[in-house]
Amino acid sequence: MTPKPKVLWLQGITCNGNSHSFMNASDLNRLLEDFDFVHHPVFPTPFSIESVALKRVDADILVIEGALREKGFMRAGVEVYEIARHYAKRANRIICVGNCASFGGIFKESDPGKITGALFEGERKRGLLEEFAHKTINLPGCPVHPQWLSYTLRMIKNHRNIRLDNLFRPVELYGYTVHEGCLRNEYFEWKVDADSYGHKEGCLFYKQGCQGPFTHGSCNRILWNEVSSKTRAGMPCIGCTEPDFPSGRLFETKTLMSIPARLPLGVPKRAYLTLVGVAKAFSIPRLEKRKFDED
Amino acid sequence: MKIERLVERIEGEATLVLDTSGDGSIRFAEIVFPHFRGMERILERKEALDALAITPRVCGICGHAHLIATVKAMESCYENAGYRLEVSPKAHAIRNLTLALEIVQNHFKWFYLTLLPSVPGFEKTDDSSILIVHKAASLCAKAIAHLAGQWPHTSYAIPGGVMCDPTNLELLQVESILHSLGGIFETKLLKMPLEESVHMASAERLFESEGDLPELMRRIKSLKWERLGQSHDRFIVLGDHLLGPSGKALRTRISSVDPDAIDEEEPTPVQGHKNHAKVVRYRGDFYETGPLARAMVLKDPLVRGMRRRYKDASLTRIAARMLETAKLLVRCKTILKEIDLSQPSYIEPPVRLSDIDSVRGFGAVEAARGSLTHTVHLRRGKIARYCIVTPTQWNLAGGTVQRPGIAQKALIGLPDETAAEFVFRSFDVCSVCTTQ
Repeated sequence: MTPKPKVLWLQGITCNGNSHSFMNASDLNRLLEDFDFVHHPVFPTPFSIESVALKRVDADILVIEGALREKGFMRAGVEVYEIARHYAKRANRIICVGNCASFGGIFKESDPGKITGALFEGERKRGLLEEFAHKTINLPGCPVHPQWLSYTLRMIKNHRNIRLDNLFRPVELYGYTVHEGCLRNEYFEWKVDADSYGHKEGCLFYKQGCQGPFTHGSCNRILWNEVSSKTRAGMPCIGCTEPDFPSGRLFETKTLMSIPARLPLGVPKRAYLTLVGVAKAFSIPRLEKRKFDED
Repeated sequence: MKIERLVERIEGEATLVLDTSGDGSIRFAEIVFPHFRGMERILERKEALDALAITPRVCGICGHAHLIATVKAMESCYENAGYRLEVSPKAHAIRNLTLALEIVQNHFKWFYLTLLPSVPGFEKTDDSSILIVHKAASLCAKAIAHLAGQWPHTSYAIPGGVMCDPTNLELLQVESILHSLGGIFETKLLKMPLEESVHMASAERLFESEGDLPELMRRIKSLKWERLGQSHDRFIVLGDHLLGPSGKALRTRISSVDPDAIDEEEPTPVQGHKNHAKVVRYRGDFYETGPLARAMVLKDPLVRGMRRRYKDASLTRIAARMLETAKLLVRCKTILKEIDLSQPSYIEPPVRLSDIDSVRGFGAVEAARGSLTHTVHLRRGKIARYCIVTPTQWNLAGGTVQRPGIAQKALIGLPDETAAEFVFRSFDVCSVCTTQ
């Protein structure tokens, strides 16, 4: 029997959201069988944070949750950056879970320039652990989807090659847009906007600030908590897998000459405008009324 | 002698700085929270509604409570500016449901992963208790997702209501999940029908029952720990919640609360350590918040009975928290039945927040660990100042030898460090919330 890969989960500047998201993994049972979690911040593990900070633990896979700063954020009395460096050097693979570990996330804003993700600060590749880029995988999202992490861990265990995009995200997970699979797609096709929150009808791209059409992620392909997603429920996508998260004015669509300032990924403005012109020229009663209304 | 004990798995870490006598008993205790992230500062100058996405990220385990506190603070901005804001009973019910389910997942995690391992005889957590928690917590998250899209970190509630528009399909699935959660409670924590747990009024009966909760309580008794962890016997509940209204209890005397009487002080260093926990008091006094406080304000017969015998000891705190779990599950079923889907989910506020010149708003909710309050100052729709007071700040605020805080008082006089860690954990400490 080959030994189980040892996973060490280390937290930098974080809210613990990724740790709790991971607790929802539908295959947690299997992961606990296949991997040896030497340290995790939520469930009991063989090694305490003190042992981790004293660098007494062996780890094959280092999971980093949270942003990093060179000085001023300690775990068990030792700078997290120093702990992270130690294990980063020795681990075979590094997985950054969540937007904070990937790009600095929300917390980078409290001290810009000093707080970064492991490889990136926003989209600039100048994170504190940048030298370990060759073995690092980013799983941004706020929080990470448990299935994305499970995929990555199991691909590593099975010695499968994980193709990454230019921001070090696995393409099989982030090669989609959040828009793909959204239940509101038909409204997007025919340019029928949601005139208000709280309706299952209408697309949230035009007024409510939905970033789904230009955000990389498989939220509507691998559903959240196995049943839903923000956009399916009626909340606009806030772009939490991207390096500019959180961009400002999240709940309104920024427009230029009354068209959305950011267009669906890769769609030229002219193509978009042509399509809008055509779609808007027709009125489609079925899409313009509530779904369950009579007649 | 001075002892420093690091406590982890409390949503981060804290250090107990204990001053002990020759026999190891604790003369005085101070608590250090080393981390600081600057959430309140990050919120400044942002668009008001962006707070809906930012404040949940204070905390991965109770982020939803932060979302609801933000929504309430913004809604109170409307009222304070003289506008009438309408929220449908349906939207209120949905918010209450998702909030209650977040509390339930927290209580399961706390019991099996945080508290149990600190009790001698239960230290070894095997995969089976991780899997009980996993099952219960992921079911709660799934039920929330049916309404709110995902858990953790949804921002589906907004001033004026909720963004979702569920059908009976979602409500029926939530109902099934509530049923399964009740099943876990009945087969693991307290082996009797949920309805019986909820109406149980006798502490003896609880001690004699079967299940992980009574087993733990008997263990605590056999360790002679049943009176450990007593504090000031003063309780505060700042938010109205699913089980009852706000209020405070001085021993068993119940009265109303005035949010203006909350005072907040900036943190000070502890014995040379940087410390980032604010000090929070009500009219100058420390008050305990959380499930025990809620049960005391509700005059819960079983919890009152336990308090008569054991005072506000950790044992009473534990029973109050786990029985609250059962009560929430039962109450959620009722709320779910009462939802009228024909009501609107969202009623657009009369004006935009940016139309209001300058206004202050206050929102209080009951989170898993107790009262959570957000105060926001808006200027033309932008956040001028944001202030968050969390339950753990109430319970863990540091005082002096003469006037110790809630957890400090509970720790002073304990026989040893092991007992200290148990009592400390009985408060369900949240490090990230304490030092946003």
